[in-house]
Amino acid sequence: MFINWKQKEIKLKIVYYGASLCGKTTNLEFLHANIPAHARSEMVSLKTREDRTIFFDFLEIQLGEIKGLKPKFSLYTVPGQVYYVASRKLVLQGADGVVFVVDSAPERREANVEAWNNLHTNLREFGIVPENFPIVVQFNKRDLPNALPLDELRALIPCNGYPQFEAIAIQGIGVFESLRPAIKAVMLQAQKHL
Amino acid sequence: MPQPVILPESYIERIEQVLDELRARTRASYVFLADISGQLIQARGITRSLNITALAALTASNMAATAEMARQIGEEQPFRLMFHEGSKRNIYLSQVGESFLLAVVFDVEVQIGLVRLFSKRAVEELLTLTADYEKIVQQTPAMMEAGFDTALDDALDALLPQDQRRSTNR
Repeated sequence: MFINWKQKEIKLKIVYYGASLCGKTTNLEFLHANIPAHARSEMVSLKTREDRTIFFDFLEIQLGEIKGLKPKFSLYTVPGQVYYVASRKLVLQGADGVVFVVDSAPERREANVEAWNNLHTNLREFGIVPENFPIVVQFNKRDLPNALPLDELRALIPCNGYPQFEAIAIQGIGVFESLRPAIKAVMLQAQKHL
Repeated sequence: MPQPVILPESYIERIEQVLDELRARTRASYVFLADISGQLIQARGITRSLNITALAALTASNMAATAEMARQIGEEQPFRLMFHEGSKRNIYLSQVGESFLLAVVFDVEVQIGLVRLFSKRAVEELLTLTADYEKIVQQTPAMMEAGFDTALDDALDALLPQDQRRSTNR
């Protein structure tokens, strides 16, 4: 978190985390396409030739002036593929909150669990207690004909106590809904320092 | 929770002085200070056409990647500086302590020696500033106005409208 009193800016970082191909970049692409240009930056994507995220995607959202303050939110995605695990940790550094994207496809059970455990390991290595950290869980790809039932996903990803949303990110469903509580949660943390 | 970085007005002004002087002495197009997580702290000489926020995020990730390169080749500390040479413009990055980086973007006509010399001086000044940081922060009053939460909700309603048909929060 950064607070610049001269410019009255509060800058907060929200990271979209999850297994490869679960829809993190799709979330950011929808936000970029559906938030007016004056309220967001251009989207930066570091991709491989196969169109996979190698380092991160980045998008900044500005809420304008609110009671004399200007909150700005840097949204990042981490690379999902396991062999980019080191860059996941780099991107997570300094995060104020996380949107954890879960892939509802049955064959992605283990990948979801790996990403969830990896998030917790990395947070702890930064000295953060995951249970006290703002995390929003998004169950994505709910339109898959064989999507796992929510109860089964919740059994895999022990996310009780965190806000949870269903989404079809590719159609934009659940994208705003997941970001909103993430913004609220990181702002709430920020207010403790003001 | 990650430790917040709170920068009072007087502190930002001192950073601006260092950046302005660096820019003037090197005739750089623009200079900026960011933290290693990619947040831009202050920039000088920036034009509207430049996506400076994204540039700050990219330079931070660049710095992080080269720190890992340093580790892989057996360096105990991350590289202190990086230089990228272009056909029209160059970029020179210096590490400022463990948490910040300083970037200078300059035309190829500018001598790299100048940039190297004055970047080093600016880094030293910025490190002196960092040493005063705790003292300055303690003197800074809180400034959150009443009604902020409601105003935030209104702003979020406008920017991220909820679709009642598809809201599935439980």
